[in-house]
Amino acid sequence: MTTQTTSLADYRRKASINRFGLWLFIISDFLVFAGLLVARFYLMGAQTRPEVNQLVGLAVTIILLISSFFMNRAEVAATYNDRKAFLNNTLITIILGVIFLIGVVGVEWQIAPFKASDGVAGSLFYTMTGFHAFHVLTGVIFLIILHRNGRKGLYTAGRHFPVEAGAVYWHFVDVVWILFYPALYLIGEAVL
Amino acid sequence: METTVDEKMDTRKKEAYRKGLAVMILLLFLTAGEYWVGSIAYSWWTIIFGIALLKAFFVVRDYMHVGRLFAAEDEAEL
Repeated sequence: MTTQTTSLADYRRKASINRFGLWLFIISDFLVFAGLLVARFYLMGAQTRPEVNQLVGLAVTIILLISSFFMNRAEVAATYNDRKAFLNNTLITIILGVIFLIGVVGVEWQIAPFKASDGVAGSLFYTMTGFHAFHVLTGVIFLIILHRNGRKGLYTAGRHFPVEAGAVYWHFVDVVWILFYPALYLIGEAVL
Repeated sequence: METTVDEKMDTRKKEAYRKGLAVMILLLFLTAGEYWVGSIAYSWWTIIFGIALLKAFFVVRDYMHVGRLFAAEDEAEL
């Protein structure tokens, strides 16, 4: 019992250090997205934006927000040792992440009336959404690994830092889209 | 005694679920507002971006639990 207690204290100490590293990574990754956001307003101003499909933009935004809700539920479930709820909520998050990717890459990219080579608007749109979509893809892969490990019973109430890391990363991807959505879809008049 | 601890855990879990739901409803409400402002006045970029920053704040605070970074090792919930 003593060994287990010491071991848990040790795990918490390590998790605390890992958490700090995780946030350093999140902040440094965010700076790249911030650079893209600044480039968008520097090159296009606040009066113009790419010509995009409003319905698709709103739909994928809502899907990503709802996926964050389920990711939060998955983390809560892991915190309270509810394995079944953790697995179900992680699976829903994965599915919503894939739907988001299909919405952006499979639908928006196909129906957009411009190419990446068609001027500033095209370059910015495909760079911003492409870079973000790649992060969603890596997030989905991360969640699939968490789901697989969860099925094996590798996470318990006191020992589930990977779940926290996956959740923080997923919400970070959501935060980036929260800032990209108005920049690409709402602010300014549509231009090709 | 055992039941009391379980009940306490159950209450905290339900509370966490409820908070998550409340944040999501708030985020959806703000998104609808953001979309509405964008559709009637796309030049009001400060308001639109202000709403986006507010949404980001709630996600960072309530979903990403940024407060855990500043908590003592034994206080942060794992």
